[in-house]
Amino acid sequence: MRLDDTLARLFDVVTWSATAVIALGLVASSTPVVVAGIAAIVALPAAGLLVMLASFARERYLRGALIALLVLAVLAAGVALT
Amino acid sequence: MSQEPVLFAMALVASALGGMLGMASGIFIVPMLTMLLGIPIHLAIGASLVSVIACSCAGAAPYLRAGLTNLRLAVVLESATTIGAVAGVLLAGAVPVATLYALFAAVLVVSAWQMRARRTDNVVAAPPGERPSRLDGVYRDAGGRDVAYRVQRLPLGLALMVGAGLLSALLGIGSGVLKVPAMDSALRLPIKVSSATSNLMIGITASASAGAYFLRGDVVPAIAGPVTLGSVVGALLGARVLLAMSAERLRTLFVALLILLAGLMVLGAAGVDIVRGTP
Repeated sequence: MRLDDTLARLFDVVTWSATAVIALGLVASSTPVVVAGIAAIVALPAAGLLVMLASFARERYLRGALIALLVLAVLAAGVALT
Repeated sequence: MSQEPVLFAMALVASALGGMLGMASGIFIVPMLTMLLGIPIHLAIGASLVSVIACSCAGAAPYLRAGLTNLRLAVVLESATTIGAVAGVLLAGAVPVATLYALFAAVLVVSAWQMRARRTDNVVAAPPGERPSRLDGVYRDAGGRDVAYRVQRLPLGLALMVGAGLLSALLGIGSGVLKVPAMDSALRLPIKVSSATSNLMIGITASASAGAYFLRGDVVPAIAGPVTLGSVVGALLGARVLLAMSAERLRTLFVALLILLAGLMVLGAAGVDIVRGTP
């Protein structure tokens, strides 16, 4: 499967599942369920970057893989510095 | 009465408005939450960032399937936006609230100006026979022809992207105000490629600061939950309304709305509390 299609499927499935989880949490007045949905959405771009990193490494586009790794490291640093 | 239905409805309207002209909803959500509901700006920004990620990811899939998103370029540019976003997170606590309101008002005014000016294609085609760089790409135009394009002035694009990341983290917006000139004028991407690539990047940039806001406790589930839900539904509706309304009428409506919101944010910067009616 093309990288574009893999990412499209990942974004579709996770966004809509997480949105449904948030809706469920709001209807059930369950804060932990809402938080789980929000956490999935916040983590989704990092998951997309991991998929890109793996794909670039597989096609031996090492510069791209290194840059994807750098972006993931910056995301982690943002959280760690908080 | 629970505030959740109001938050849902407000985010739905904001996101539908944004979706109609391909803007991230944050530029409408933050002013609405702060000035109309009296929600503290950091909590409004936290909620907005989550909704920006959700709308970006939901909107990215069709562009990806159409092969319009330049993923290699997106990753390179993200190295700049995420660094800007982390700097923004670190600065966010130190910037006075009045300054955030004033900065937001300025971004709204510039966005209104950009909306009046039409985007033009400044694409540089790849000369036949010349070996393209790995960041260059090919897209299919309206006539179904494959058009090769070259990425221009990458350092300038990267510099603008650092600013875009900084603004995104400070204000909880997608930063189209800087990304559009960076993509169209600096990198000279075709508009379709620029829109698709920018849409994907908005979510990644927002996630760089959303994680920090989340851990800091500035993403309040009772606010971010309904806002995110409303935004995703609104983005879908906005795309449908877009097909039914005249682009010129929409443009005029948006410029008026952006100026109105800028006025509200100026009041916020001056310390005027519209909700409680006290300065």
